[in-house]
Amino acid sequence: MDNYILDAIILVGAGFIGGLLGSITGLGGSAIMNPIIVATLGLPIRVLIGSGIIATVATSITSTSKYIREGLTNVKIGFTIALTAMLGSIIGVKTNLLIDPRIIFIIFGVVLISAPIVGFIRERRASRTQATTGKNISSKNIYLASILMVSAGFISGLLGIGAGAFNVLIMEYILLLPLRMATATSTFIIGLTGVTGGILYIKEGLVDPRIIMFTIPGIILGSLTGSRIMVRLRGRTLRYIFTALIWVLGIQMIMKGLY
Amino acid sequence: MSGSEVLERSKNAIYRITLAGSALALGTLLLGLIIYVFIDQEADSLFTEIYRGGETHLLSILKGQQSIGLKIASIGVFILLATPIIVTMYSAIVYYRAKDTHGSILASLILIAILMVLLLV
Repeated sequence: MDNYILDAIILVGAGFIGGLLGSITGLGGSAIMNPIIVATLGLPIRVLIGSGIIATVATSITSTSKYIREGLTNVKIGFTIALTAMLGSIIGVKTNLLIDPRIIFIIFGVVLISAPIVGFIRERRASRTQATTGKNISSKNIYLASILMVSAGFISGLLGIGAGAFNVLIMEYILLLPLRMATATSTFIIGLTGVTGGILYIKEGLVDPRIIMFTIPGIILGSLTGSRIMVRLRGRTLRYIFTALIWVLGIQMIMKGLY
Repeated sequence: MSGSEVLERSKNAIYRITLAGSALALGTLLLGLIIYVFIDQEADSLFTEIYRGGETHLLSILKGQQSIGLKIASIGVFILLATPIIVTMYSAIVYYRAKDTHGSILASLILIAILMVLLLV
């Protein structure tokens, strides 16, 4: 029983930390939660990834309801580019099932390290980009974004994460959507890619309801706390500390894959 | 009613569907958690099945002799996955009624893709 209480605390805590750091850095809950659970409980990475992708659907639909009411989600653009993201997700899941788990650890680590860098690049260039309302996007840009979304979907399916940072980057720079609309539309797309990946992982028997029911309440509480902290977060120091923590998790994942 | 009016009115309906879906799914997961921990009292073996490579297949959990809490949580997972599908189905109908061919085709393609994943991949 004692072991159980400790396991449960670790799962809820990992979900909370994942939700907290994920909402501040734009990475999403399961991207941070999974490395913590791997380091503490040592659960199989594929089961964590399969369960993690279901957690991304939960956070997606919770946030989407709010964004749709505020009129921030561009459903039509979402549907347009979600199609290729879903294709990428299928390829990602199939790749996950084929490759050695050690390679998954290394890719996970690299994504964890690169995602905050993507966020910083986006912020630095944000002032230079002229955002549109998303109504007059050229078909050339739609095609380009659709092609690039295959890679975002691939990361999502391969690692069981939302890959929101990559989605937002594509929509902000290729489709020139305003950040808030890009974030809301990305959240909507994550739900669809998550469903695709989730169905495939369920078919493979790699989704465990025990992990989901313990981590999702933690993720949602963590995301709510994180979004409140974000409003008060003025300096960049705290954000750099959080980024450093994510890099530590990323390095730990790479090391686990190498040795 | 014009196409834009139909789309504008559907925003509230989509909001209600996603809100209801997320509330129902999270409520079911929470109920499953409570029953699993406090009523089924299978807490001792929380992860032994995973550690030993045992049953983690959701459909087998639903059909098998597992605890009621775990079965309820599995239903919660299926409700979670069904919500975006229902939203897409509803959007396809709304776009069709608004005579927005592009939108209805896109939504239908998404549904076909999900169906293919479910049946073929």
